[in-house]
Amino acid sequence: MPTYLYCILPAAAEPRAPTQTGVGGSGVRVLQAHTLAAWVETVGDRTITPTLDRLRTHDAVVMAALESGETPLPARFGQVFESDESCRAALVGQASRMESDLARVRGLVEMRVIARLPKGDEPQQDSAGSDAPGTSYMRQLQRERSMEQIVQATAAAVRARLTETVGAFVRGEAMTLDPFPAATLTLSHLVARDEIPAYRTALNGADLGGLVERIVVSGPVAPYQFVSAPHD
Amino acid sequence: MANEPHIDDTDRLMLSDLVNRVLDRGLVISGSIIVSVAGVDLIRVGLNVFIAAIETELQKSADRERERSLFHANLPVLHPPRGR
Repeated sequence: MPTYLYCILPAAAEPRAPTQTGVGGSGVRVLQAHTLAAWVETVGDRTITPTLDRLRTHDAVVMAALESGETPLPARFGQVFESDESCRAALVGQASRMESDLARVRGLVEMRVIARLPKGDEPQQDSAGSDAPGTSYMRQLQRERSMEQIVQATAAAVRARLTETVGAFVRGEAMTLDPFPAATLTLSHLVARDEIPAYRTALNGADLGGLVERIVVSGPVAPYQFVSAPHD
Repeated sequence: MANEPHIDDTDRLMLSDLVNRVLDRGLVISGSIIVSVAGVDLIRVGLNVFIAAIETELQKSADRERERSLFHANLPVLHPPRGR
């Protein structure tokens, strides 16, 4: 039967057994793989179609592992192996990378600062109407490019101000910026579990006046942003 | 009122974050993952399309809810007919 993977914990930590129901409707269980303990579920099919409910379920299972006290390596949604044996073999084959990642995030959690940035003026259609279609298209590209540069500059300013404010609590940082369709900046911070209240307090005092339209802080979550890519 | 977003922007940000985080981040053991939406590989479709599709569904749902509440709000109060 196929095996769906949620997250990895160090086997030595002897994490408590999961009690959640997973994306396939079965119970989540622990699969031991040498020095690693994986939270997995037996599913009926190797293809798991992503739905909002399933994404939330996947995240909830990983969250439960995080709440066990040990920081897990969260698996990306949709990883299904042919069987427990093939899952175990894949884990053991990359155990050194995962052990290193687990050591790096031990005692830490990910906090995510998500900011909607102002984009300035929307690109307008050329009102003159005299340009040839090709020229009009190039003008539109120019406007979009200019808007992207504004968004990037704003993102850099937000990042700098947040670094000033919460930098003392940040053990690792990753940034993603999606300029279109809505300019959204996500700053992921690795923060020690016992420093979360101080981090939040510092964040509340950040002066981002005029730089962001809206800001949301998500977390603590498992360190989704801080796992290394395969074959590094 | 007409210009107010139907879905709270905070919810929208949190939703996009969940989708991005769980579908596009995290540990990859098997080297590549192909998840599909309606039979089409998500890698080909792109994550933004998936988020947009979810947001569209949420927007439709919010619109339906708003229309329903407006419909009920505009209904005159009808009293049961009294006997002639």
